[in-house]
Amino acid sequence: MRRTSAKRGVFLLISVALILSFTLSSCVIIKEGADTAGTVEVLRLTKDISVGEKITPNKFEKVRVAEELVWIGALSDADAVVGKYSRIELGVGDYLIEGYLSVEKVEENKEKVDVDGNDRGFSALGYVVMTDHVKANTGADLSREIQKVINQNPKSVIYFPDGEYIISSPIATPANGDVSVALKLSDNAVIKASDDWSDSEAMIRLGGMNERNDINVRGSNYYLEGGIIDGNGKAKGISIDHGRETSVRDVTIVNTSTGLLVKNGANSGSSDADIENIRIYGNGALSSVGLQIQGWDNTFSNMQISNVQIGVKIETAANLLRDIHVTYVQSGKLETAYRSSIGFLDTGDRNWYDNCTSEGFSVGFEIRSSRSILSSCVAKWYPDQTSKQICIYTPRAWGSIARSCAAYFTAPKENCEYLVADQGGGKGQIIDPVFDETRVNREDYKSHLCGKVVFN
Amino acid sequence: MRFNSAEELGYVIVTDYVKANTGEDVSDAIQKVIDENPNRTIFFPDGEYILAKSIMTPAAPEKSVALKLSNYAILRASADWNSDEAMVRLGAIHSANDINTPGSNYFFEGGIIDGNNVANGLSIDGGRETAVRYVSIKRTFIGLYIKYGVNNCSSDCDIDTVNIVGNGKPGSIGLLIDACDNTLTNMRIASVQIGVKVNHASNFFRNIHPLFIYEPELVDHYQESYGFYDTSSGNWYDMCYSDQFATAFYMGPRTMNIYDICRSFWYSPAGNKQVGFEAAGQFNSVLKSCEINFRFPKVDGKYITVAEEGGTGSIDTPLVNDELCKDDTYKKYTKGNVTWRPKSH
Repeated sequence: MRRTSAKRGVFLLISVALILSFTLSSCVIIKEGADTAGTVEVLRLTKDISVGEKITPNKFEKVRVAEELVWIGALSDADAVVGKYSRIELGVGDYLIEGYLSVEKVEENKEKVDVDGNDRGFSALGYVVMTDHVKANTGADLSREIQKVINQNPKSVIYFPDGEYIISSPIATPANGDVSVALKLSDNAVIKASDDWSDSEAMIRLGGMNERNDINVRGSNYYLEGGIIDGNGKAKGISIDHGRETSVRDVTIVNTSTGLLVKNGANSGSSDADIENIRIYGNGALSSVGLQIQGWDNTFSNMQISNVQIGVKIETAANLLRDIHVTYVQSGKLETAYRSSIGFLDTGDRNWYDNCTSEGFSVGFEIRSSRSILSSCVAKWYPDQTSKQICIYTPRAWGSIARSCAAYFTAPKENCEYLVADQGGGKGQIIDPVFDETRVNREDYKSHLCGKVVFN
Repeated sequence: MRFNSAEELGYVIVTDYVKANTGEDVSDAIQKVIDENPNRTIFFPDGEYILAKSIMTPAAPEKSVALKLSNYAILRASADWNSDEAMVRLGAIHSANDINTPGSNYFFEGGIIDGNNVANGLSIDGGRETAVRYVSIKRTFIGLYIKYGVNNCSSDCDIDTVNIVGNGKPGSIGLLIDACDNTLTNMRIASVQIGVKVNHASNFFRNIHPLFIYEPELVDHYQESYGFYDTSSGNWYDMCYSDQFATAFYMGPRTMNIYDICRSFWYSPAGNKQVGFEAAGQFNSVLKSCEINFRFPKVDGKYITVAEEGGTGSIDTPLVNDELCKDDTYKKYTKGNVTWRPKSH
């Protein structure tokens, strides 16, 4: 945002070279035209600064502004850095919006400050600690406060210590690398949907605001790591809405309608997200999905998904799934629910599955399109399951490749099939399958067989 | 549990010694922190740290350090950077070839390495079993370079979830490997002329996705762009994906590799050259279920080209639209059926 007039002011993101009397804290964002009578102090320029002129702290004054603030944009850090020569024109009335001032002096205690006079502690790691701004374990809705912390701390790692944080509406992080954040949760930090949750969006929307498709920007790579996302039986857990190369790792997602949703990606459909070490326990509803993929070019590794009607639902292409284990929870479910359950439902194209396991779902792998590759995948069922068991199903001709894929049937023969292809023909292949041929009825697999059926 | 002090974590916090965000060169100061804190994890808080020269970590286990960067800790090359070495050189001092001594395993994790369009990013110069993970490398000529390994070529490194955006200049490389026995997993590479260049054996690549972008200085070099350029032998490629490079997988004259479930895709017909596999000599590798996705009827698309007839290589169950493939060479090596989408799909 560029300066328009001294009266309107310009809101700048400027790195601050601190004086010991101040404590650098979170970013303050000022709503244009806001009533400035409030409780928060910021710095306001008292002198014009020309291009090439050095920016020094003595050219600012402390003022108090409204605490109720809305993010409206920022310049790049490269434009204006305190202590360096400005690359842009700044004028009287422009506000410093990175950092606000604490009235407490801390410079005397050298053990507690770093070279800039920053308070030691976890903030010395550069993290913004959420509980410095919100109180966990209160049962109250914190969505607004958490969003404010995100908005006010661009290019920060925001750390959630152990504790429960209730939210009644989604919290969103920026997709724009210039203002992105990383969310880091302690192992027992729980973000939980409120009892009255009604939003159709996910609880955590990564890249859910400030859209940008640019991998060149420093800060374009951000993550959500750790902790527990609790959908309270009704909410979706996490979505990747925009941005590129987002990482989600080491997260537990429970009681969700959809555990993780990767939306159609920012780069002509490509999301390029990397998801690993995720555990999802759904809400068990008929509409529940563990992992839903609407974007291209994503990778998913080491995921355990259970208590859902569909383990993984893929609607696009060029995704890689490795070591994904989906488990059907039979208890309390009707037979009709079981018969419509699917481990991996692929309505896309050209997806790769490596060492993926469907356990207990009626259909292990439903591959509706073609050119996908299943390598060393398994469909298996529990000993007490006796109705429909299909390893691979396609409503079309078989046009994909299944390589060394195993099926371990437990139902009577009349209910078991290795491959069901509703149409004949197709250029797909079944290579070295592993199953007991005496346990199936249809011979669809034989017209695509390469090598031998392996079984002991 | 809440950490109340850096001491509880045991980290050496760089900003206790070095000022970030000054725009000034802090390479000497950072090197001093490394040199004076053996066997410590050195943590870089968010902020920018300018380097005018390389920082180097010890290979010797007794002196090694781990470098852990917060997500927005940026190591940026100064505008006057003039070294051919990388900005961060792991195992570059106090050489050692020792996996027995505690401290032999160290890592570089997190943060952003910004080559400022002039520098190389990160190199592994020495040591064994070095780990590099969750790193974002931007604007480099060579993003990550694994040098000839100390253990008779073996470096034994493990590289995981590293994203590289090159400087878009001719000759730029995302990942360069001159060593053996390394594993590289989950990497995205963009804006380079060569995505991955491999000059030694026994490396394992899994889910590596280089993407060619028509940067202004690369447009005229598209014909010589390669997703994976391998001059060696005995390397494994598992679910690797060349995206828009003129030649997806180049195999040198003595290459005997395994390519399993690899793919090439082009989003644009610009440049009119789309080759899946190129054998510079005879074809002596194994391709299993590799997809070459031709989409533009007018482009000269080829599943494989070979410089010399013969060879013992095989192409098992390829996926290709043979209506758009302009060369039948692949059929000489094909075992099993060719798979493609039926027209009804």
